[in-house]
Amino acid sequence: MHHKIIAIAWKDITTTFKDRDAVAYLVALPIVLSAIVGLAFGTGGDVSIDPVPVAVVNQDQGVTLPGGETLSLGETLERAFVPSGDPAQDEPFAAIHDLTDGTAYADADRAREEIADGDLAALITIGGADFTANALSGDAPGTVDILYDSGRSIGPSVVRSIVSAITNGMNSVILAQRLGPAALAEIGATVGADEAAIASAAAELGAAATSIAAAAPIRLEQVDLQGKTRSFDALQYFAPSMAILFMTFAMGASATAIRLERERWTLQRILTTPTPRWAFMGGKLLGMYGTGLAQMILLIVATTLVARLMGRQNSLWGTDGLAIALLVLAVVFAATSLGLLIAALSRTAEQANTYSSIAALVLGMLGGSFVPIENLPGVLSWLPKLTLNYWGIRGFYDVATGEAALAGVSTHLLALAVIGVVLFVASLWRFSRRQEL
Amino acid sequence: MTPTTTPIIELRGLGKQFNPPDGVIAVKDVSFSIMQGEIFSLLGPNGAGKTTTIGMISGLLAPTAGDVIVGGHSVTRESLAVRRLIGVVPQELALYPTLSARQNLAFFGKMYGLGGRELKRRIGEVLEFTELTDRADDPIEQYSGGMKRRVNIGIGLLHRPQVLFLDEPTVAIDPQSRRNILDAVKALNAEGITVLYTTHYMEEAQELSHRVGIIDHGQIIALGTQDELTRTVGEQDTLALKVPDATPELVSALGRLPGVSACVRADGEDGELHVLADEGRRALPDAIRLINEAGLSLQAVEVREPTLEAVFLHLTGRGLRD
Ligand SMILES: Nc1ncnc2c1ncn2[C@@H]1O[C@H](COP(=O)(O)OP(=O)(O)O)[C@@H](O)[C@H]1O
Ligand SMILES: [Mg+2]
Repeated sequence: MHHKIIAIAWKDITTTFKDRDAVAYLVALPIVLSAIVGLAFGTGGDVSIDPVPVAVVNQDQGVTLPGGETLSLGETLERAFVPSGDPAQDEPFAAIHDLTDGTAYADADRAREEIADGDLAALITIGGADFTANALSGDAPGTVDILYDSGRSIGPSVVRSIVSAITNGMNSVILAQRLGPAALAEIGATVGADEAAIASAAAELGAAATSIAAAAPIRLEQVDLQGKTRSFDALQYFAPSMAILFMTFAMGASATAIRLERERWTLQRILTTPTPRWAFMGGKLLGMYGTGLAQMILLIVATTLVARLMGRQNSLWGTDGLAIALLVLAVVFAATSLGLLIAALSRTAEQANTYSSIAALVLGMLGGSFVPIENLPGVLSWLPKLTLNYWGIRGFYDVATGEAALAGVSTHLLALAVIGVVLFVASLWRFSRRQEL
Repeated sequence: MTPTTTPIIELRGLGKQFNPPDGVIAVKDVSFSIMQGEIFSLLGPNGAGKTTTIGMISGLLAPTAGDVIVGGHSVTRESLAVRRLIGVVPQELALYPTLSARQNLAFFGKMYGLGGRELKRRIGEVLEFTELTDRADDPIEQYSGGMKRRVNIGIGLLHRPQVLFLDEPTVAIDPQSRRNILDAVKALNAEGITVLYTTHYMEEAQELSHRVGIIDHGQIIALGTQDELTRTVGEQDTLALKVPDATPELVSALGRLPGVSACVRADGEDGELHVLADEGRRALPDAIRLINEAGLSLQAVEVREPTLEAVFLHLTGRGLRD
């Protein structure tokens, strides 16, 4: 029986790849679109994004300066993200305020929940009531925590770079202030003195700087809910996006082809030969899976070559071959099940065609194939996670950026497998309830 | 070949209702046998239940009543065994249009369980038999209607079936291709293949069959050899009148003449009307009068022996193509 299954699958795969229109649509078009994205954003550029939603929990009480004024470094950091409403105070941070949408939170737990729900990109916690005091004295470092969901591709890295830019700035000011007076006193006392005294003062200064630098007054700590941060690479994002989108289109075409076999009576003809129904379905499934695999592999190879030609230096899909292979297998499996379900739900080829176009577009939009989706409001935030596009794109992106190895995409692989199994079981159930295939 | 008296297919109280309990009853309590070596035609108008019957015999549709025994195997219980014995040529062109004839044959050959050299040899023979060798590697979509029909038939022959089902294999093709197909059916039968042939063209049934079953509204209304069937019409004659541009009004007026049981347009031939009359010669003057009154011309008249069409007219009062 396996000969027949393979014959059916092979017939479908060769028919698809011999069809010039199909190849243009399913292979050439995604390559061209990826290349356009590559040209538009350069290799490794950024795309414009919606303001990143950030929560700031500021526990810093500040210190009272000899003049009676209060100095709070925590307050300054908070203002970088949360506008005070006073134009004079907000002006230096205008650029940051365009990029982010910061809110002061009293309750860190609530912010944590919202990150888990996908409503927030990150939580910045400015640590301890004596944050400023510690930072100035150098007795213990002041800490800034960033908590974020690495499922998001851009938001957290934006927040991270802003926070580190600000804390670095603060650190240099503090260092200069702390070291400055001491160094001047030493130098003053030794003016006109012998070279040995100057050398020893300089050595002391160097040692002090090193020790202070080693214990940076403000330490930035990032806590990732899942992994690590990364900077956004448009092409690394869009190449898998397009590949997966067009692979779901191909699955739609396969679903239509299943219905066409019935309308053209080729299915009925097969069933008059000594070939059982399940062998037919097995062959169709294998054909869909094989077509999807071939398409993904072609797209990975072709976009890599095109990116090379366009002058890209670092690899487009990453170097972890095993992780890439497993992601390809998993994402094609999920898409095959989707195609099968569409075939099971539609009565005619025309219906299958319509359903599959809608499914591919909606999944593409929700899953971030067109625009990287950072956050959907409230209850909708979990929607992208139901799509194979979401997990596939993120998985490939993580592997491509080298941030995640095989273990890092295990969640993605699992999610794709679950989506595939659920859709597969649903379509089997649906097929079993149909009077005819 | 001369049919034997060994039944190879037995229909036993076969019935099919689509979407029960309220759906169409397409086939109703059909029982008959087809003998080994026979060409058996199922003759009936569109919608009579021919395709549904073939579908059930070939295991494609589950009967809602009765069973069919093919070569000793029950279709409902040993469907795979039955399918090894039969070759089915569906009414539709069940082909992959972008594949060539050779590729279509190869694919379906594999579905029949053929492979390797055996498959290659059979493909060669079938292409030869259907006279498609020259165009074997062109995609089917570039073929004429007649050529597609021949590929459609060829596929059903690949595995040398004992029984061949042909469901209206000559629909919508030119006379030359139709001729080829009818000759091919006779040639296959001469090699010993039993044929179940469905059609709504009485000429085809008449030319090919050893026996004919007439089916209407899902029921067999007459069955036997042509002689047996035409005898049921009794003494009635068929008047063949050649009247170009005959109007529907004329056809129905002719059908109402005294001593006339029905009037229909003949298949194929343009302007030929068939009038089934108790006595052809008596009805002729009235017929001529009606044609003159309608302002049309009668170009030829012929009184014929009763045909299968006359049998159908006699039994149903309708033509096969009404
Ligand atoms: N799948 C189906 N569902 C419902 N009714 C059907 C189906 N197939 C055929 N029929 C009906 O059954 C009757 C017999 O059809 P069919 O066997 O195709 O006739 P024929 O082949 O003699 O033209 C017709 O009334 C037709 O409309
Ligand atoms: Mg039919």
